[in-house]
Amino acid sequence: MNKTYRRNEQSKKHLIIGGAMFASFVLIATVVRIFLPSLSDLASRIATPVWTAGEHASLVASLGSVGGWGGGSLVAENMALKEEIEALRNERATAFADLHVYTELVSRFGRSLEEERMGILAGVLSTPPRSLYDTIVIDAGSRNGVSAGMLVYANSDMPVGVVARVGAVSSVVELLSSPGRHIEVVVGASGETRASAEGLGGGNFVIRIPRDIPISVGDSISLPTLSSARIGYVSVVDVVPTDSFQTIRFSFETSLQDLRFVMIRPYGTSIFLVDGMTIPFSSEESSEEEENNAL
Amino acid sequence: MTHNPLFFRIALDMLLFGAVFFLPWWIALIVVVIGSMAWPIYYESIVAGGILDMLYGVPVVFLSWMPFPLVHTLLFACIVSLIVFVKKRMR
Repeated sequence: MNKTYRRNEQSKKHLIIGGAMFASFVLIATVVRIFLPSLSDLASRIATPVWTAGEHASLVASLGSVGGWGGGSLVAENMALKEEIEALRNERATAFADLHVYTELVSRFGRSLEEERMGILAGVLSTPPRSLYDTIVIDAGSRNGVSAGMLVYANSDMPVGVVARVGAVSSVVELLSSPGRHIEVVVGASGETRASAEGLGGGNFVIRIPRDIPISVGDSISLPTLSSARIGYVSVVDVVPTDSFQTIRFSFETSLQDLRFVMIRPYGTSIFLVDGMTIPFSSEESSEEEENNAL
Repeated sequence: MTHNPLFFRIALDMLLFGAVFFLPWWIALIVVVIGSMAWPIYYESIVAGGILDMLYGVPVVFLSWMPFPLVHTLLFACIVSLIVFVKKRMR
């Protein structure tokens, strides 16, 4: 008798707990749905100084650790860096020469590289894997002229994502590598092989193309844009004898965890987006562009 | 809970909310599991999940039916429920 009573009591408790959890979830979902913009904005406003303080603290810690290590390794590092600087100088000189020729060619066809490079500079507040979402949070919002759908570039010319949510002082950027998303890419330097790359999260992608196309590890992956923005290199090529397709894996050239600044631009390279991400181009802008092209 | 002093819960909460802002999501998940095992219901986990969703959330492909993605809130709620269920069964 006592046992049956206890069991009934326990099942009642379970029901109450389950009901309370379900009710709280429904309540949260409703509250979030109604007050989402203001709640997200409030959370971002609170989080922004916290993230900034965290960045400062890690910077101070890294400076402290530099001073703390032995001198020998620093001398070796210094020498290596000097060599690297020299190599980069030479590379830069060649790149500038190429850029000059390229700029002149492009300007003859009515396009200005300088115009395309203009954008909004933003600091990165958080990078993956802080959450299950493949997003980064930046410190520029609607006050700085950011709006949903703008493209976000790392290293000034490597597209990494699209602005998905905008607050007053911060924005959430959905990375191109978000699971399930597809982007169009060009595989190899020749620019002949186009393929759809599927995002796997964390800056990683996978491509499935016919096995007959010669692709090797180290081939560049770029976007089909005017400037052929390179986003990475082929890191793995899986060929199975029974499969007529080969699987290519690659990741962003830049480490997302080390991102400090990004550039946000409203236009330029929307053509590589295949599905999922919507770029709100106004019809006026497109018609203007068409008119200019026609002229 | 006499054998689980309040300061331990506050310390765990601080770790949880610190993880939300500064650490990978799976550390927050570990804290949620520890908290759920230590107390009957670790309510803070739902709040932490909500904050994670509000800060980092964007619509996801596999949860397109949701008005706003509550991936972390759902995940943490499921984990807390599962642990509560397992704990009751083990008694």
